[in-house]
Amino acid sequence: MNEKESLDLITRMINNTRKGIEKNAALPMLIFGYASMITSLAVWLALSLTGNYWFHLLWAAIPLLGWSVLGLLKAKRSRGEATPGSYIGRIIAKMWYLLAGVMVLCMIVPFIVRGFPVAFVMTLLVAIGVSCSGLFVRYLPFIVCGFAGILLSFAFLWIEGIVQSPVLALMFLIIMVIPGHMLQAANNKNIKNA
Amino acid sequence: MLKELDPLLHAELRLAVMSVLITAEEADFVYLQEQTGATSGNLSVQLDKLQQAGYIEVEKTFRGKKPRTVCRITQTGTDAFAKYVEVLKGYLNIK
Repeated sequence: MNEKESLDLITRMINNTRKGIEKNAALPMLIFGYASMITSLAVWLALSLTGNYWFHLLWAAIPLLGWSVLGLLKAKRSRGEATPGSYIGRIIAKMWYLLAGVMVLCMIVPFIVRGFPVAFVMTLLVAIGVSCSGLFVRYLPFIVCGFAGILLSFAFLWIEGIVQSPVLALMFLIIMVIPGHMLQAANNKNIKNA
Repeated sequence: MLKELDPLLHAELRLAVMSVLITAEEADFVYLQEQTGATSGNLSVQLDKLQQAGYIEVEKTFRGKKPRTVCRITQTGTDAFAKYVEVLKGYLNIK
């Protein structure tokens, strides 16, 4: 093996490993994106039809649905496929655990403090999480959609009432689902070309 | 005068393993085998050499009922890899 071949080998192995790590980043984004969209629409429908404020408890479905589906899929995947761990992956996971904890807290607060801008705070937290994930893995669509989400979240300081829920669903589509699918498509393309 | 390349790293399979581990925090035996295309026997021997040099640490655990061998790069390994790349750049006139 000459020096040029050594450098090529290092580059190839590092690129392959990075792709393996990126492949794991799309799944949580898509699962939580869809869980958030479905929950937002469910809350909107329930509140529109009944007007019962307690249907806000449905927001708890986001972490419950998200973590259980993600746990099931990861368990299924780890049985058939070996995956690398990474410092970055671990940092991102811990950041999302922290953000999820704060989000659960934010879901409880409106029952105690009426008028708490829950939609604004939730969108802001998710958008910060997405842009930070993008910055850590250096993935541009996450960074762009995350920052767009940060700016758009301020709209919730003016949007009030029941209409907040479908707008939230739209926000989650922009912040999480679209960049998640872009990463998934890029990964599938890489697999085909490999 | 150019320095000599670390002979322990200047071998295809060992260099491939170190390149994976420098990027990932940890990688299991199956993943390393998939990435390098090496046979189990050859990979085991090369991992043993890297472990003896203190470049990696190997941990044998279980995932469910299945045994799992996890490899991690050490600080000595990280330093050796960085030095190897620096010397390599010298050979190839890369700044």
